[in-house]
Amino acid sequence: MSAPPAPDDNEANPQARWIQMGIGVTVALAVTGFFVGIRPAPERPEPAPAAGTAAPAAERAPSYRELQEARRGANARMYEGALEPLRAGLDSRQPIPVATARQRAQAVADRKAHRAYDGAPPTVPHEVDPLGAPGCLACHERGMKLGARVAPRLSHPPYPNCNQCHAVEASPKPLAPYPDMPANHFTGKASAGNGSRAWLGAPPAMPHPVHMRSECGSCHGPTGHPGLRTSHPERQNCVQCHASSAMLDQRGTSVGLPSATGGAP
Amino acid sequence: MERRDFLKSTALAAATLAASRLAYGQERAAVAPSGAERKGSGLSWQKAPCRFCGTGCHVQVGVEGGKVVAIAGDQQAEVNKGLLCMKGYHVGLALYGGDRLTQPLLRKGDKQVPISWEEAINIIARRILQDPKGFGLYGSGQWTIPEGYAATKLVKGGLGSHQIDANARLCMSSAVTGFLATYGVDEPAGCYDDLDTCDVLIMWGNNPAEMHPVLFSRVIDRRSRGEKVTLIDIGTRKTRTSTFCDHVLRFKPNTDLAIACGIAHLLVENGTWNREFVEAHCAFRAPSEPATLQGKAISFEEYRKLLAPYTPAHVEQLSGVSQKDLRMLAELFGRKELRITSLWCMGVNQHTRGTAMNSLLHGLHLLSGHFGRPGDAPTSLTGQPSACGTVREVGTLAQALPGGRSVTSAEHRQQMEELWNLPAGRISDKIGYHAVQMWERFSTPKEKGGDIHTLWVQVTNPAQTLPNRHKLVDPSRTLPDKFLIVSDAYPTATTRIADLVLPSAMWVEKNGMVGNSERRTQQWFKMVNPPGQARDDAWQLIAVAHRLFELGFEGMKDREGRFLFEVKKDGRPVPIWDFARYYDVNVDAHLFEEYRKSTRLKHKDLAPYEEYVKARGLRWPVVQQPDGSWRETRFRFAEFDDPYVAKGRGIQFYHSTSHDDRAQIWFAPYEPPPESPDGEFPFWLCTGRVIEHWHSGTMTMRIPQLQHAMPQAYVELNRADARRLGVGNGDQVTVETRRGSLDLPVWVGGRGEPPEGSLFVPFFDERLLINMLTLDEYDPFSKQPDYKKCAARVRRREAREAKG
Repeated sequence: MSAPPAPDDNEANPQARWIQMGIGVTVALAVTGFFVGIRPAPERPEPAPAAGTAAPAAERAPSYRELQEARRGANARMYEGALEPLRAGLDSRQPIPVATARQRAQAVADRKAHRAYDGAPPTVPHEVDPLGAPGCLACHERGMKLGARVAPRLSHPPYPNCNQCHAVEASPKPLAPYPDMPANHFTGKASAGNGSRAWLGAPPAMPHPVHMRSECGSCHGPTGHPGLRTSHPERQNCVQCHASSAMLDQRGTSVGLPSATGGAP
Repeated sequence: MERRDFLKSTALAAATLAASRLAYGQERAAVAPSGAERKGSGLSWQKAPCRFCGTGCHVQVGVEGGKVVAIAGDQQAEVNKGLLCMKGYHVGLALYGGDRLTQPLLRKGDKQVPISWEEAINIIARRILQDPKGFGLYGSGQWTIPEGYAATKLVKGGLGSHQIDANARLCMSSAVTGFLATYGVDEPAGCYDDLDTCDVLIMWGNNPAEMHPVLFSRVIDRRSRGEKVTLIDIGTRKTRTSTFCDHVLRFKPNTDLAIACGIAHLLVENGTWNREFVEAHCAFRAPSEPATLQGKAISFEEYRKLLAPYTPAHVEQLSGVSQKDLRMLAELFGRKELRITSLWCMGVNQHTRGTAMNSLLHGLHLLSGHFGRPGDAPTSLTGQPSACGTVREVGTLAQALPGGRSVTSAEHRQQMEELWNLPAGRISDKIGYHAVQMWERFSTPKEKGGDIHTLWVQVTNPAQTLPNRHKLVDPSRTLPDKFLIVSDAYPTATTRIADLVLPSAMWVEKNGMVGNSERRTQQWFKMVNPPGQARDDAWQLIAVAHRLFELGFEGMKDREGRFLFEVKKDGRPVPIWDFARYYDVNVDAHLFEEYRKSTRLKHKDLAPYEEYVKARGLRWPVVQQPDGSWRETRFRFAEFDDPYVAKGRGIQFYHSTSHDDRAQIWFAPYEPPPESPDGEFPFWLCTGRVIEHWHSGTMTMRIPQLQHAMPQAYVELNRADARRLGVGNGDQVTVETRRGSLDLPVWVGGRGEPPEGSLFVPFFDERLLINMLTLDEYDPFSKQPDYKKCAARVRRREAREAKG
């Protein structure tokens, strides 16, 4: 890669454009470097550690978030605020046009690529640390955007053990994909469908359960699929107008026994 | 008021529907509305327990157009409270693998050719008639309760033998013997509620973050809510669980016994054991000569003397766990105000000292008094959905009879003959072969004592899961007159070598009931039809029984000459052996109602079938109240919750082996394992599961999302060992033991991290069968083999070879 031009060019210089681009590249490299830097587990064994480090004492892998918080030394504050710009624009309150039917169909198709059926936990389209307590929340707790790439905000309250439900999409290295897997004929429900409306223009009721989808902004906010976004992100209290379904929420059909041993009602 | 009324009327309607279902049977297609069904937007939703592990989560199954199309966590389920794991969320896909078995297949030469069910049933009946006592049934902790009960009745009540055992022998039997040796009765006193209140959770050779993820989340989610709970991992390898733990203690394989003795030693020497609790409720035991499950009674002083060698220094030397950590554990157990729950599963059970280690863990909790209060419990987890409900409670084992009865007790045999209305003496007093023996006899020529000629396998895959297959399974395939029958939903390592393959319905393609790790019995209804000619396992058993009955076989008749599995509707027998008529009645409900009568003896009372239709499972004993309602029990042996504890007793071990309401605190010494690494085979080899796959992968390897995430087996190496061997990620190595060898790719820094000198290989991959390499040494009491440790070596394959 060639170095950017010398910085002593004056403002009228047509190379100013190149300087700007060079700075852009540098920033992009820095950001890329940051993400490469936090990637887990080298694929080859590391050089031998110094002798005498073997101790049977407690060990616990810190999460990325903790590492970030606990950095010491000269670079301690290096990444402070580094993630903030990536979150910029995530909380836009500007109204946007109502999604078209085509956009909606596209959103359903895109979603289907990452889940077995509507309601299944989405698979993870990137590598993750196969062993450690996952650092998912570093990006997904509030969501993040880098160019066209979006780390969606969680649709549910955070659970610490993300990889209990979310499987990685591609075989983790170095495992080889299974060569001749038999087809699976499961045809999952691709979409919850449209919410029912009492009349044209009425706020649609929720076509899906609230459980695990209580953070509406995850899909319907500014970083959601264009076909799913709300046209009115400025309104923050979604459930004021959009009714949930007792049936989908598994409410009102309780036929179980009352707790025999006097548990919480 | 309106909502209340609505709820009441819904409940009433559901109960009425359920009751009518029980009495009048189901629609043929079995998609009639049931009690807990909800409809909306074309989908109908119904409850079912998850098909996979022993946790016993409930899912909501979304059915549309006769197919399962969606799954949701059941929010009314106390076990999982709406949450599932990646296997549970994808459980619906397990039905739709493209290569489901859809017709019976008979081996002719090298091929398996389609035959009719009629022919298949005839073949089995003829094999049985030829020599009923040489017929064995090998089942599973995935048998539903009614299936296991039908199998037990067929073999023990019908064939007059006890040649029935189950794969749970390979995973749970040391837990059973541990419970029996300690309390005189099987299964945990505590339950999952303990996870919500414990201050300390100790996991012994256990990786619940992958194997019981929903239970693990139940604990670590408490931290997110700001509660403090101390997690301690005592294991032989770094796992996902370790990364969440406050203390991670690594021990050398097999030395867990030394650690338990070391903690007991410190409690006794420091005077921090709970004298009051022990004097009131416990007694001491030590191994006897000859060894028996009851052992011999010893005094406290003798117990103390036996523990004397287990000083922190000695235990540190044996186990590798530091004295500081040992003292930390002893200090926690010594604090009476803390609530301590222990969890364990295969690490403790698949152990040649499994019974001893199970007993020691119960002993630690009893000695320290960490027992009988919410959060204070020694809790053994199971790996299969009905290892408890079917194998342990129904008793589908060579030495057992239903309801905790024993083959060797004349009284128990007589009770079962009464319940089954059999002529006196029909039930044999001779214990059958346990799993390993059964397969050994099947793989031995008849003239050399191999008296099992026909084996029928249901709902399990022994060619992949038995240890040392070279010895236990393969020889039978070349011996004359050895006939292997396998019922399964998919082609497996076992169906491939079978003489007769029967296609089975699975999960919500049939009615079912199972029992999970916390004594919770669960029920579901059939929701979709099985593919092709696949049929219920219970039907298969009943159809064979009826063919024998038709052929005049006395064993299939009761005292009055009626068919053993007769089911009546409106006073007339229903031909349930005809599959077209099988769902004219609810056979499950009939089998269960009969079985239920056998469950009082050990105070494992079960409620009527309809109660389970209404609930998301109930924990036994379920005892009827004066107002007619049924009340489950969360904490056994504790007066505040267990109705069978006498008033004022506080704690009462009412099945005590010493008949004085005392539990036994065992001493068991550390002994070296049967095989340890040496110069020739320098590594420890451990096997186990991964979160994506369940058991031998026959279901989960057909679910794209799970199979993509974990497509093949591998060998986990420590970095230092990898460096020494000159191998890196993806390189092929040959793992060898004295029993076999296997080529596997290396994964360093992967899912887990074994310490130096240790290997780990998961067992789900049928192309890479690690059980070809494992030891077939087993625990002397439980007969459970040790899959967790044997000596191995690793050879780097030549680069040329590795590429090929």
